[in-house]
Amino acid sequence: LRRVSLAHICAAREGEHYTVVPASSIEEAVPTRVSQTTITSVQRDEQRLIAAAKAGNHDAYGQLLARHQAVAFRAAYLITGSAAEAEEATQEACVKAWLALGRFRSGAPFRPWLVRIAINEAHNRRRSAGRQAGLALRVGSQQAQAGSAPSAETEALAGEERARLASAVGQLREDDQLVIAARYFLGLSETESATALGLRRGTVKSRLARALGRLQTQLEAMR
Amino acid sequence: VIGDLEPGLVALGAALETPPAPDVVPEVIARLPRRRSRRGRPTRRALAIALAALLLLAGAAMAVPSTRDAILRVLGLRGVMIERVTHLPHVAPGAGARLGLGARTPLVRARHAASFTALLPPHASAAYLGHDVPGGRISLLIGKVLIIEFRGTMTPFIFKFIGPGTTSRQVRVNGGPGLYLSGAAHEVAFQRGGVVQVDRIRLAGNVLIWQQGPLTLRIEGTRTLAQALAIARSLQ
Repeated sequence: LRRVSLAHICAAREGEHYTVVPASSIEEAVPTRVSQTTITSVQRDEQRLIAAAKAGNHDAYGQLLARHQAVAFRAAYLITGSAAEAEEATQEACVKAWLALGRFRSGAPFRPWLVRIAINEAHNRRRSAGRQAGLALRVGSQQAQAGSAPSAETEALAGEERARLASAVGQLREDDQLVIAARYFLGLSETESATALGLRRGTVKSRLARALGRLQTQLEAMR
Repeated sequence: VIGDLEPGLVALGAALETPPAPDVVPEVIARLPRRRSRRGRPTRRALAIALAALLLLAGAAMAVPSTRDAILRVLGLRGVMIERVTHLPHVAPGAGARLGLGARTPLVRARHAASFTALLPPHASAAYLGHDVPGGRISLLIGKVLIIEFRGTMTPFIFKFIGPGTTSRQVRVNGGPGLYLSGAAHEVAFQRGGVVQVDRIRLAGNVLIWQQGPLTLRIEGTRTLAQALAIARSLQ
């Protein structure tokens, strides 16, 4: 069983099906072949919005952005490390995406495409500002998982572990950081990560494996 | 390795401090042009059409003198409209002194004085903040060289009229598209409140204009393109 985000479900590809189970009964969204209605309707709705936006409908484009602007902003923030610059990058990416909608392939998911543009914008801004490469990985205070009540010691240990992991990720080269961020911090699928990073799916797979290997080595060196 | 690290990375992703995502939709929608090209690639197509028109009209202007005044050659960068005309409008003596750069602002505050992050040269002598363009306009002086920065919009803010003696050359500046106007002086007018302010029209020397990310920048007053590019590259 695998926990997945709602955003992940919204961007599910054809053939991926999920059943959303109430948190009161089980806290996992379980991949299954049972519930196809929600996914296909979400996909259909998104494709309808894309088609309308391509035809020049601003409202439809606004609805599309409302669904995906948060992940684009998060991607931009990870790269710029500045809320103001991330907002500007996101806004610029959304405008550029509109201008490039004519080249957008019908049936393709919109989210990773927008994220890719946002990543490019964020990179440009960071380069213009002369800042060094590397993602902004600031670990906040831990939030307890729903339904669990970890002790203060457990919380502290988990917090330390995350800080150590963030530090290790931060010492990787940026290509490695980006592929890790796409998969685990932005919640993109392998295919989406490939689109967002402008890579082939196979390249994402191999790069991620190498990045995790280097991360493991880094963590061992930090012990 | 993946199996061991994956849960920790997912948890790290959830614990990373990220500011709340702002709602950029209203501002984005406000910036969208009302009509998009049906066939896509509007920016490149628009540029190609503008360039084609530039060449075509250049020939036409030379061939048909009676229509010269009516012919405009238009090439747009974001927030900048450049029109080539055969006769420059009259400029009152001393108009160049009224630069209308806005209020002087301390150099240390120039970077964040407007709604965008301004790019600064290493050794500016003065900075000004103007509010006559959405998001503000930052002007920087390095001796007699003037740098102007503002957030590029689809609505032209700077209007330039260039005569037959001025040459325009397409260049790439810091990865963005740009134009270098050189030769004879040309005229510059700024927009305020949705209208072109004729009283602020002035003659300008060689000018480099380019887009960099969301910004449109111009450098005025350099002797050569190389000098302008060196200043552009020094902006951080």
